[in-house]
Amino acid sequence: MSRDGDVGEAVRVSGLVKRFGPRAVLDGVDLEVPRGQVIGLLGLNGSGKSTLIKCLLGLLAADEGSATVLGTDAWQLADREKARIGYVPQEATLYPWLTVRQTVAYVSSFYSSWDRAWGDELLRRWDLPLGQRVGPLSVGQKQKLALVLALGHRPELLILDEPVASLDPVARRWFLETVLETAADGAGTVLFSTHITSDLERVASHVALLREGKVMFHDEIDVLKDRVKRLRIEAQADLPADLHLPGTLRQEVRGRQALVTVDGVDAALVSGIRDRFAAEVIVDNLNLEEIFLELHDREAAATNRAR
Amino acid sequence: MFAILRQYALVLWVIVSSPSTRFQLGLGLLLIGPALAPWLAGRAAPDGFMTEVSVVETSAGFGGFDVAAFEKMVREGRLGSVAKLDTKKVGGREAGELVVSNGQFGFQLTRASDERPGAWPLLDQLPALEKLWMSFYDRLSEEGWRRIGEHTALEVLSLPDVESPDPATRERFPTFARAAIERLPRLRELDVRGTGGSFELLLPPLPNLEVLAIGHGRLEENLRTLADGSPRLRVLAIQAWADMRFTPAMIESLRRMPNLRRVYVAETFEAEDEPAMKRQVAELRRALPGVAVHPGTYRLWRLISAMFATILGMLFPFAVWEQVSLLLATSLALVLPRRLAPHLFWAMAVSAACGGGIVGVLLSVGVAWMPALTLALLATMGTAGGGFEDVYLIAGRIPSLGRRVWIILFADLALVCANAFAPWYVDRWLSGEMPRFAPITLAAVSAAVAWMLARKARIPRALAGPQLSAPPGLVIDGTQGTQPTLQAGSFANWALKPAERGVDRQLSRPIPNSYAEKLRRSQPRFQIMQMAAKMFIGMVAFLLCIRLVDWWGGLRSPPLSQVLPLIITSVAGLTCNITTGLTALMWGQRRESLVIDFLRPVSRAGYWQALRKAIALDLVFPAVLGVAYLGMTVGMSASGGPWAWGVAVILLIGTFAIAHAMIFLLAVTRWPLVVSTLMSVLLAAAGIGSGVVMGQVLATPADLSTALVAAGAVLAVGLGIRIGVLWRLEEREIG
Repeated sequence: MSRDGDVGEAVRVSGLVKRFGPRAVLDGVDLEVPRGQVIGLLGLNGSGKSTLIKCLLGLLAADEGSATVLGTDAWQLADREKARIGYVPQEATLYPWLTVRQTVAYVSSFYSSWDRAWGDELLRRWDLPLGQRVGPLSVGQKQKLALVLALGHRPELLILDEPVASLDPVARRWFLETVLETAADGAGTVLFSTHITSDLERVASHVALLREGKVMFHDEIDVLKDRVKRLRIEAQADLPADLHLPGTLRQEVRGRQALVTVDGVDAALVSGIRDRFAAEVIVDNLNLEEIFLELHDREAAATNRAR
Repeated sequence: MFAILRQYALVLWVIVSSPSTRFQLGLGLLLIGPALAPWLAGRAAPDGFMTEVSVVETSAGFGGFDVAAFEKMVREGRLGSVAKLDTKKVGGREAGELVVSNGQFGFQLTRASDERPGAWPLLDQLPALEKLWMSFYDRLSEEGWRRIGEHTALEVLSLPDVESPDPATRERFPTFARAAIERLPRLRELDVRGTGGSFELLLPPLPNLEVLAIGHGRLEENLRTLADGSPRLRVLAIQAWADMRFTPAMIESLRRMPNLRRVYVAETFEAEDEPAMKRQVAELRRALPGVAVHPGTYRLWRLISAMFATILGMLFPFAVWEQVSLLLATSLALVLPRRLAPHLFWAMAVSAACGGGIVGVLLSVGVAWMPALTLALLATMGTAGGGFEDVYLIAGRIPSLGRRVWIILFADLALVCANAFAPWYVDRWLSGEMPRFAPITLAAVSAAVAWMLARKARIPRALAGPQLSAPPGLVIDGTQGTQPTLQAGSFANWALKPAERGVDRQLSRPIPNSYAEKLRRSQPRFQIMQMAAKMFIGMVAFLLCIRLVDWWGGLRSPPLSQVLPLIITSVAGLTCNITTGLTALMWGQRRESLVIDFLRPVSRAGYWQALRKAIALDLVFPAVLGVAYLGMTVGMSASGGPWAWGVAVILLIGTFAIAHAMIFLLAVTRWPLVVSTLMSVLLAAAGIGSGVVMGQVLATPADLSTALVAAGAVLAVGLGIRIGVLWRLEEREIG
């Protein structure tokens, strides 16, 4: 439940299509993010993550389908809804001639709900020089400032587009803790795209994988990890070039040995392999990054499609 | 070889294709466009005419006579205390007569100039008259001369080209004149060039005479009289003629004048006689080594041509050097081998080409080769300057708000000021009449250029890292890698402090309800106003310098009451152009940040409305300057009637409609390259077009049809673009 008592999803996307010219960057995206959830958006460069975020923020108009944010059509977001949203883009776009203090003063004037003590705490926590002009700040410092500006009004929905790539490890840790704080009371929803899957594993409960303009997986991270495993197979005789295992994401066969990543591993599948190929089977757990890589192995994907 | 050629070609492409290059060219054209058009049309200053040096006009020529004060004294019946009268200023631009009746003062036109009475009864009512300036339209009969002769308190008497109204008595005009003048023992300044026409004056001895302007008639006798009877004579202006030679007797008389400091030799006002004047000046210089001898007329055409050729020739090197500086300071340039040579080659090539063009134009309008070289060097290589200013801008990424246009602006300003306030000095230098000063200026400019180039060459090193020497005003902060920060106490930091304080003031005020005003709170917009103030102060300082030189050289300076309107008009015109450009620059810089501002609590419709309003509010100050500029231009023009005002208003609305629409588009577009180029072209065209149209309106007020069509076209284009840009605005995507 939100702070003002609203119920329902923070974000709801249904059949969203966005084209740039003839190319559909988003090609029927469906996604629901309940309030209080921390969800990571994963995908290769150009998979449509930023476009999806821009559609959610009302910067881009959907060609087909719908997107609602905090119960309102994303394209029609009014000032009331916007006051409940925080956003940090990939590159902090700030006014270089202002000092840090002036920037905070400028941005805070837009929000009636700006929490000055919280803003000051974030500035102190991230050790930002108040009197320094923004122009000469390092990229990381600018990103920290952008985070302060996105968090200062205690948004109900925080949307982050690859926000931590330029942060140092200490700042990243602080950032992740802050994200957790935001979501801790169950009122804050966080949607962030990133390539640093370890960060995602640390703070996100859910993940949405985007590929070729579609959400190919959306669920809890633990569910994904339970589903996708790597099988190390060692048979008595040479294995066939294609093992024909259901849910294969990638396979690599070399004589009597094979490495196969499968979506949907269970005991029956493992036992079946042992019996069919007279082989030893070891099941490896994969972390999110490994799963991501397996899912996006283009060569394997092409092989699978051909099969 | 092919690889090198390819590399050079690619570097050229990168330089030329930059939006910054095009924007600066457009902005430059916008700055000088309105003034450039009349010059290109040959109307700015017709070639073939020479202009008098002010010394021979005496102080009335600059407005030393206060018409309002005179009229007040007439109204109050205090004619007896009037000390000055200038017939030109009180309506004497046509044949007529000054009359005072029942305490009212007026100028009564007569049917033809030769009917104008030579002596007004008015003169009899001015017993305290000390200074009298008369005009070409005035006529002096025997009666008139008698009346003047009775004003024995006269100290200044100027009546160039005044003749007799009566053909029957013209021969006796010199006699009347001499009789009157010799009754004026207190006379300090006398201007009798052309007085009496072909009937030449023979001056009496004048013991207190200090400044004299005379014609060439009976010059030998007059000089002898002056040598014998005017020991205080300090400044002498002689209106010569092309074939005239200074005889030994004349030279001898001039040598016998103990206080003579300065001699001006003026030809007739035909430019073709300039060589003769130069020969006569040279003759006198040789004969009078202790006396400063100068030409008494100058060519305005040469001066204006030099000014515009220099500024026009400066634009391309300025844009290219600026771009080269930026390219050399990128992180890519730091690691690329052999990056310096091709960049510098193209900058030098463009500079050389434009420099050659400037020299060619200047030599063709009669500028001596040394000043021509100096101006070409200053215009093409001087723009290479900036040095660490560039580093600071690039590394600090702090908006310069016109810092880049300061070089053009400064040159523009200096030349405009020089042209307005002291053209004779500049033209003397241009025409080679300052043989000692010319090499000094050339050497100074060469040294400055060498210094700037040396600084330029250090840019890549300055950005390379903390182990290399840091430039003045910048220190490399070790905690931030290679990000230079401004050193506390440095000039650059100090220069930005007022801007910072201004933003502080804006932010400390109560938060406005209007979203447009909220958007504007972050802008250092007062810097634009500060720039206008700086320009005004700069022009006044320049004026004071000129006055100092005038005072030192014994020349009259124009009074502030005449000069200030000129300064205000010039500042208003220049700052109108530049602040419009800077407003565009500012919103262009905000383009990416505006995406974030859209995500603040504001509705879609409210955001677009606020953005339009904020840009419009930012254009109010440039528009006020535009109104001031056009108002003063029309107001100061004798032909500025209601139609001229109407055309000016239409042009202003049209131009600002274009500016508003294009700045709005620049702030929201996904194609800033295209929009900035288009905006530069459109605004330059509107600016130049407005200048041409206003020039035509003021030159030929009777023929308004073309001007109205042109002004209407500017308005239609402006409104058309505005409608197009704002069409279905709320459906526009952002970012």
